[in-house]
Amino acid sequence: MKELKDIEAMIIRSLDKTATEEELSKVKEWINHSLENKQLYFEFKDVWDATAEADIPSNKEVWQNLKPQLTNRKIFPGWAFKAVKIAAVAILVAFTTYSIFDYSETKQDELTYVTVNVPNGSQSAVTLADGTLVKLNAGSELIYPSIFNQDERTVTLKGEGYFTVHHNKEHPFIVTAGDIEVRVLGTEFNVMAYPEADRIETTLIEGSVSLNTKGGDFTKGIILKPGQKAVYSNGQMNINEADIELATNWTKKGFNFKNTSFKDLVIRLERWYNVDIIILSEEVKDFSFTGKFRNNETIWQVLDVIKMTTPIDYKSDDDKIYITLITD
Amino acid sequence: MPQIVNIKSAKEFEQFFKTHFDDMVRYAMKFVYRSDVASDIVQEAFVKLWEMRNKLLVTVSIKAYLYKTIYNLSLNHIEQLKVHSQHHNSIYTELMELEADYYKEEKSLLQQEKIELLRQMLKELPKGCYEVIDMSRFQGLKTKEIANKLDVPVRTVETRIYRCISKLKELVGRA
Repeated sequence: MKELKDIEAMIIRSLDKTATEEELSKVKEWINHSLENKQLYFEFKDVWDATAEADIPSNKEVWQNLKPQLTNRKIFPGWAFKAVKIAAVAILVAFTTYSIFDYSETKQDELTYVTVNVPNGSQSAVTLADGTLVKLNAGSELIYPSIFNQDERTVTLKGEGYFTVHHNKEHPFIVTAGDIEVRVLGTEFNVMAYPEADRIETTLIEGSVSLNTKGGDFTKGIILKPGQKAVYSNGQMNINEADIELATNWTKKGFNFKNTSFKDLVIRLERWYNVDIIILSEEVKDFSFTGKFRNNETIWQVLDVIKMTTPIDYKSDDDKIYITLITD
Repeated sequence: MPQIVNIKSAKEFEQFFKTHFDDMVRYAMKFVYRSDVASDIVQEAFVKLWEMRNKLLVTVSIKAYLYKTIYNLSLNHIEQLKVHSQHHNSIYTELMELEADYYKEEKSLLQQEKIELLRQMLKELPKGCYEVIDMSRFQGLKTKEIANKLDVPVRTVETRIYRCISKLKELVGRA
């Protein structure tokens, strides 16, 4: 009981900033002792922070300082707000039509579907009935009808594919990937939608595509221009300038990383070399890596290159590769 | 459904800034502890929002975007601190990191917009609680100073504040 009271006092001192270094270490130890302790501490601190009458600078003064940094007088263009509204509607529609969507899928079952699975460690290319070419990256799956006899040409992608769509105005081509749909007339684009990744990236190389959430109204979708990339993550769609080389490099038998998190890097390498890689130190997952490989290196050569720029080490055992953080 | 903030003009942007500045600074202070640093981070987040206005389609909520930006900028700040920190500061930096990591999955009361509720709940607290919370949280007095004012041992003040904050946490959690 005495110990419990001690920690209470130490928590207050750590928040009050009157704790000694020894007391702080004890608090840290206590927090790390269990999830309950951690939750209790940070919820407690949250109330503490939220009740503070902190010496927050006056927002009027800060605004005066901030204003000159906002160079353009017109702040938000009207279209952005229209787009926000449209997107909100699209998301609503996506939710409300979810059950209907299930139904329409069963109706299409009359068609014969072909599933192409590309195992880890290899790549594949498929030509569809309409002449569309799809290059598939390692660890991907494409489901498509053997004939396109509907108004729309619809395929489903898990993983990564580079599409060169055969032009046909009457029959739009639609790629369903996770929660989004990419709708095109005739164009070249790359979709990365690995289920284990936390985002879906669509990069447009040529032509034009529109994106909407699954089941949403495509006439209100977001239009991509060549050279742009749409990143869908946590229900949010952001449009950025794309690095075309980076996004399509895999089709040319090479791979390219730019500020790629270790988590994503490992997923890529696992797929590419068909190996299991385990990150033993949590900290490593947040590291990022930039570099290029031609894909004629061995996995060991690749890991050795990564080692040169990042404080990691690796060892292998039982077909698995373990990555650890080097601390000194 | 997330609330969609509608800002069409410079005037509305200014209004939006002034309405949310304090909460955003409090949120950043969770991670960086200092109000001047927090204020800089919040300003940077608003400038970022401004610069991204042609590239970014915020489809959920501008506030969520800002909180996320502030979170990331705070993490950068902690990273820098880690590089420069002297030994005796390192435990605070470690606590900062733990906290930032915790808020990757959890939402703070400020993000949940519960601060008003919290203020109301203060009235529900037992007598004696308001006194210490007022001195500690609103007047920003250290426990030692409160102990001097009330002429009781520091330890008593610490225990009382602990009980009162816990009670408040319970009340907000239940509401």
